[in-house]
Amino acid sequence: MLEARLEQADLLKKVVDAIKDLVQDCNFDCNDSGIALQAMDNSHVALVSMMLKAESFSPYRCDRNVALGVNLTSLTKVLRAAQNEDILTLKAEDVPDVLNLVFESSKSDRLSEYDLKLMDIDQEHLGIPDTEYAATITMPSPEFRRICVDLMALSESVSIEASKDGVKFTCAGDIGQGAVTLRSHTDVDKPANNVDIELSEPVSLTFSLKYLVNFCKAAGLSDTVKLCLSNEVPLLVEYGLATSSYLRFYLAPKIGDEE
Amino acid sequence: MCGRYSLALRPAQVRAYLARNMQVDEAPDDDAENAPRQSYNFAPGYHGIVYRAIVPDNGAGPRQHGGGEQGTDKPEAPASNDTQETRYELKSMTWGLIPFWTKRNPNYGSLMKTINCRDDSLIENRGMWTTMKQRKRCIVVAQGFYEWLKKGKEKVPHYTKRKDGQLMCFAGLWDCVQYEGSDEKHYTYAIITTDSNKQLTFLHDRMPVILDNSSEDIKTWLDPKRFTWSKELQNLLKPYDGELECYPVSKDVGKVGNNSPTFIIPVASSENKSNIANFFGKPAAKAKESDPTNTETLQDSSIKAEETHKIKVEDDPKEDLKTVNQNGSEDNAPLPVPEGELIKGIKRELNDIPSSDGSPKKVAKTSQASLPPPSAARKTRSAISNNTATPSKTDGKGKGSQKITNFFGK
Repeated sequence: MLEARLEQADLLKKVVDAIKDLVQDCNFDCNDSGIALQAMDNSHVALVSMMLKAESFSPYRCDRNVALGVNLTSLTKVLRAAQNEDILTLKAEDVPDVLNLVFESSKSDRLSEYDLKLMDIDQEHLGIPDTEYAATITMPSPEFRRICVDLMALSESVSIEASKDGVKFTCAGDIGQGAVTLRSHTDVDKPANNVDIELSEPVSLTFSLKYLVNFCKAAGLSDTVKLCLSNEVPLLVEYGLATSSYLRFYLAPKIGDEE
Repeated sequence: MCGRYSLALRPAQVRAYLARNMQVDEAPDDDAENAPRQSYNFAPGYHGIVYRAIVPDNGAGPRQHGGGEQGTDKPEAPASNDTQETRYELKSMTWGLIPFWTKRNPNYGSLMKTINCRDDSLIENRGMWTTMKQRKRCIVVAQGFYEWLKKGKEKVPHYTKRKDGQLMCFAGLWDCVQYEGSDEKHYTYAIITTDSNKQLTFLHDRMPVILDNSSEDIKTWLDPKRFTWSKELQNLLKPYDGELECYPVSKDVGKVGNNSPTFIIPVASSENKSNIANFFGKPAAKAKESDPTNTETLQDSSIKAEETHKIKVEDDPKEDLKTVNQNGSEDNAPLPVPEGELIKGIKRELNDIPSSDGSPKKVAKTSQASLPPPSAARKTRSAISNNTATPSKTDGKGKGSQKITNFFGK
């Protein structure tokens, strides 16, 4: 039996919105530590990893590990029926056919209940090692979104270069080239506006902007975003959530013109 | 529907490959005008390779009354009579059948309508296909074909090939047309489609008719002595019952003009360099080694072809560029021979959508070592790419269209 009560439906709505264009079907793996999700996009270029810790819910109960195979488009349809402030409860049997979602209005006595049919999804599960990244950049998430969207107008790919001078996003396309440079910056009044660059060695990697722009749909989940880079490993784009839950995106670097 | 396939072999390679168990008496020269194009992304309008019995341009069988669409009976295409043994050839033809009665060059749109021919439209003796099905049957040679699966908003290309790695023989129809006021003969073909077999229904409800290499079926299908439509011929047009392999591949194949050996590499494989799974640990490495004989078959033939063909001096075959620019750029890339099984998709109630769980594993890097060393100044032709033969709008290298700046100092 799984029962997870979320104070605000908002969180799940935004998470699902952020990944539904990347992944069509995926398993929500529920165990006593929380609800996790890992999935790759169709082209196997990007990987989504989500973790909603048990502490994000109150109460949270999960007697047996259970994988909820969900079509995210269908889940979106159901979640659209929830208001952002609604209290959301997820319920499932130990061997479930359906996922039960209950939305309670915090203001009135309205209660809506939906059953979403589940599916068996045979999914490859990857072990993601803890990596010591050469560069870790924290910045306001709207800033990252703006950079990606702006550069997307010029090119399909962006090169991210982190050095002691700062982090530089450059792109070159048919109509010309563009670059955005950020330096470490501390805003005493609004810490969310900080740009923080931790660097152990300079890195330079190229990524597909289409995917980065896609990741930025998660910007509403968190004020800040963390980019982690090391040469020749996938970029990690992390949106931190409350109670050390997270939504992470990994993106394989572009290889210079195929050998 | 079968609207895109893969054939990245030169005629000499196809010939060497087919000739082991099928009779090939003639084949087009690799560098001739209108030479077949080699592409991992073979689209309608390209010159493909067709295998057929050698018959006159108006088809097999006796001449039709009043149907003398071709003025002359060419001696190179002798009428087949019972005493003569049937000879077979590989021929370069354009994909998209243009019927012999056509007066003017049709536009691309109407060409697209005749890249396929439904098997059920052949049952009755009427409609545009009547002459072709009776007298102009052929085999279209391919390595595999592509089909797109709708997944939500996205369309995911899937590549289907024979499990044994052999060439695929599609049942096809051809025709020869001579436009009004022109001496040039245009050979064109269409691929016959039928219902999908069990394995491919998840992908699409139609598939090309695949005949087994060197089978009696092919002999029957091509037999020039059969010049009327029969039940026997119709019965050959059925869903394929042999083993196929089908897996998702790179989306780049969607754009006509893109060409890369990576298009036939499964997305969920370690050969796919951009596969993010390669960066992370796998729970259980299910790396299945491909049957070595498989790798040999294709490789072997490519070596043979290389030998019979020797080294060609680079000479761009002038091909007529239809609607696209091709930008194949891989030299010496291995001929990948993927091995694996059908992707699984077990669902309860929703549409079945296969989840690629990494089962298609493949062995590439086959022919790397066996290719002749690249000689200086790019004199050799690549075995798997004809990138040199690509006139493109921007690269002013095409004959007669040099850049003016080449003549003036900067």
